[in-house]
Amino acid sequence: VSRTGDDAPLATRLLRRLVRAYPPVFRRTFGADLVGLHRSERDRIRRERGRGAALRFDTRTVAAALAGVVVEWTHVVVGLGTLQRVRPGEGYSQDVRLATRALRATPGYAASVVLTLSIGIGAASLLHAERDSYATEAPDLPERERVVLLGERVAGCPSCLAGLPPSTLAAVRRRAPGLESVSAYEEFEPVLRADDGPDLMDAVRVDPDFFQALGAQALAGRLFDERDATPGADPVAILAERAWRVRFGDDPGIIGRTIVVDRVARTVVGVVRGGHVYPGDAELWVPLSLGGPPMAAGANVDAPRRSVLARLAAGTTPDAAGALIEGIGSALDADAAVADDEGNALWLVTLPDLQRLRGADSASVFAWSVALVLVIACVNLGGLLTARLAATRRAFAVRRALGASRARIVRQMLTETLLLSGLGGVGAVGVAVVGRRALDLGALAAPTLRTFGFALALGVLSGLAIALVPSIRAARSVGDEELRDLSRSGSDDGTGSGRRLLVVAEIALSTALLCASGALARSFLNVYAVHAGFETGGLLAVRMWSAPAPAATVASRDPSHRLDELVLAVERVPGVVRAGAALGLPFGHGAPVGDYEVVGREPLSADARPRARLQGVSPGYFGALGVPMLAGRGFDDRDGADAPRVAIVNRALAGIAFDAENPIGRSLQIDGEDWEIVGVSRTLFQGDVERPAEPVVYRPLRQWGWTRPSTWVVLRLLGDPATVADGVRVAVRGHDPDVALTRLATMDDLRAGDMAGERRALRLTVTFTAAAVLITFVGLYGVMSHAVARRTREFGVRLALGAPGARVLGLVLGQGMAVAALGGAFGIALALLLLSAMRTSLYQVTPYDPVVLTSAVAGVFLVALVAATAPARRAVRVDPLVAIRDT
Amino acid sequence: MSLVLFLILAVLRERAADSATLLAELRRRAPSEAPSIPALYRHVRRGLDEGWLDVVDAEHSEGPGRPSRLYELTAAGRDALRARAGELATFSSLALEGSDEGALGVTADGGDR
Repeated sequence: VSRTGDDAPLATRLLRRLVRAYPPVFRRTFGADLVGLHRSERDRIRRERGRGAALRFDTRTVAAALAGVVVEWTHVVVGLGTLQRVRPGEGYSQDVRLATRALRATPGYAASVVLTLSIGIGAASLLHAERDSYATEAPDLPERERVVLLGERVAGCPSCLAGLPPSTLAAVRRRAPGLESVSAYEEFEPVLRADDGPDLMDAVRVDPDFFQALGAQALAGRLFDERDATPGADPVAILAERAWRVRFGDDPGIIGRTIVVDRVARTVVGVVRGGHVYPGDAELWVPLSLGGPPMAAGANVDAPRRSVLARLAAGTTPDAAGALIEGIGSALDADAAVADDEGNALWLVTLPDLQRLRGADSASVFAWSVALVLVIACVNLGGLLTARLAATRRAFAVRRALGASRARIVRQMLTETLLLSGLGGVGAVGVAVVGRRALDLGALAAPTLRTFGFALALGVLSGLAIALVPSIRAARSVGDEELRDLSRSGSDDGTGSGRRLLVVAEIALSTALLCASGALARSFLNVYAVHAGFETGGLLAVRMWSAPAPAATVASRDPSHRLDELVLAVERVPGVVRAGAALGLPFGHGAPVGDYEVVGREPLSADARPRARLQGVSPGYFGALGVPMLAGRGFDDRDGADAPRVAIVNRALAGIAFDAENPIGRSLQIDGEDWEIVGVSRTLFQGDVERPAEPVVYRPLRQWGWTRPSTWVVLRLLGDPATVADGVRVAVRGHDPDVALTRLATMDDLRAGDMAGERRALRLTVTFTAAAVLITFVGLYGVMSHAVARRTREFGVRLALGAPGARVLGLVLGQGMAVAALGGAFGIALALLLLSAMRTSLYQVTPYDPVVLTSAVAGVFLVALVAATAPARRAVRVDPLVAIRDT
Repeated sequence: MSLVLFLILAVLRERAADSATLLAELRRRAPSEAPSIPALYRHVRRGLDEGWLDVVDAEHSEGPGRPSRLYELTAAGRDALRARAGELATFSSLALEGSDEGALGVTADGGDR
């Protein structure tokens, strides 16, 4: 709309502004005419009928223009104006036939769209399944928003909740009137003496009012009450519905039946309804007061913290209760007697909120990768559709000229897109299924009908959303002159530059994803490169879970002897060279942490004492690992239960506690006893890259006492781990029917398992990056092919005039590389932001890591070069005569 | 097809016309149905979309004012006009059926009784 000057009447100025709000096509076609006609009509009315009539005319026109803006945009966006004129069912089969024929004639385009949709929607479906699994994980409890968990916040982990020490729990019980049934619980793994051998269960020790706090109901029998927790009460247990069905075969007489758990005969008094189970994988509950402490008595470990569950009193909101709890936390911090050592804040969170946080936490890397792939897929799809519409514009124009209605053409285009979207949705299901297996998402992401429905719906909706507006625009009627223009293959309707911009965006996003993958891979390799301190090959680790020994046995027989016998039994298995037991293992299976003091130095307060990992090992442990002593000796038969207390320290502790002094012969005070240092070992990697040199004190299990249920036995092997494993199982079962083998893995597998989180994040990101790069490749290839096809005549002329083929090749490749360079530059800027956000997930990799950034850019250039090469070679092979004749 | 678009096609059946002429003709032939200026262009757009109108001259000028587009009826528009006129005639005859003077109080030729 041209400006008519400031002297234009107010209505004309208003109208001019309103016209700017019309859809671009309408504005370009009618805008100037509309304003001009209004101006001339207004002048005429004012001349003939006076100012009042002109004013009424102005008002009517402006109001109609305002309504017109809405109507025209509705027409463009929703397409109602076009579609409603098509009678339902009219010619659909013909549309499908035409669309199928058109797609078979352009297999490259069809394959590109289906591939793009399959990858993009498949990735989104995986994310949907993963989130879905978190949603279904939450128990279906009545009024579950009233169920709250209390604990301490853990720095750096928004969904982590640390348990409360007894003093804090007591304070909460005393001072929080808004909470009912404040109940402590702790998870443990007892050994169930089953008919087919000992088996480990997921169990929980709970306060009697745990189920009241939860609002859970019994399917059969009863829940716990106060009498179950009184000293001397009969041992009882409650089963989860799943455990009752799976482990006890729906036994109708389960109530009153006696089961042996951790060598204790317990009467089953109830079965909890399946949807009311908490924590989610629990199979059995026992009263907390009868369960005993979770760790060995006398072990110098942190005071036992327990998870805490409560129910909001009627009328109390989570916010009010949360404020109350934070207030209690502050009061406790101020009270030195019960101050929390680590100063963590108390936190109250409802059960549904915690589940949501955990879901969001776990899926965040995944979500970002998927979001980027989806964006790239949509951008690519937009580009492909634009190119397709440009290519079919002439055919549409001819059909319009022959009398076909716009609605019919739009519908045919939409049919074509729907067909492709449907195929893409089906392909996405395949991608989701294969992706789940390849990414090892396990039970968390089991694809369901809902997931598949989501994939198909997303495919159809995204296809329609992207295709509708371009289809309506492409189906508009064109004049003769434009039709003639369209007939010339050298014409460019502007889609070329638009598509190039889309590809620049795709390359930028792919570069950023490549950088993220590269950084994660580099971080992973850095972690993996941290040497374990021993040769992990040829080692088998067995985790044995033993039911606690009965009190009579403990009194009459040193439990460590039973362990010695077990280790000896395992060592006799053919293929085992050496065996040793330990409370913990490297790679995240660590022993407890406690404090120590160097005997002979100034005594320190409890807070100031240095802390170390307190490891208990059998004499064969270091030999089985193949770790020689750096100084002094290892443990042997001299170090029995009644012998003087001895210890081995690792080099890290020797450096911290003794600096340049020789630690051999010095003593450490632990748990009120003096332990003489007889050896110094190499520092073994525990699995925490932030603290690779963790101080460790090793003590003989015989002297510490073997009362912890879980013990690892390390086996140095000569034979095949698979055959040795069977022998180990038989040996252990023959030795003690109440010892369950809960883990049997090579040390290499344990190390891999320790890095499972990093490995999973890396695998996800690399997979989605590969998907993004593939989609980008398709997009770039399409753009270059389009550009070459458009310039066929030009290339023909150049070649006819004697231009060497290499020059034409260079022209096309240069164009492709220019697009890649622009996209790469934007991508690096985006990557710097992304890597800064990922900083905490990276180990020894900065956001500005030159290797990562350079490799990503090189990767993108390589992809661009490959994508541009085939079209460039086609350009060189253009026959000048054919090109000029055909165009 | 709306009545306004029908009237636009009817005007164009006789001769090509620009928007000012169309507006004037509509006001003359059916004052009660004459659209506002923005609505006129909406109907013209619809006619173009359907392929019933075509632009003969993008910068047509008859006087000192700004040039405007000149529209003409296409073959498809002529067919649509004929079909719609037939529908309207059938509708009128059905509405007047059974009464010499017409059930609606008008005579068959459209004049007041």
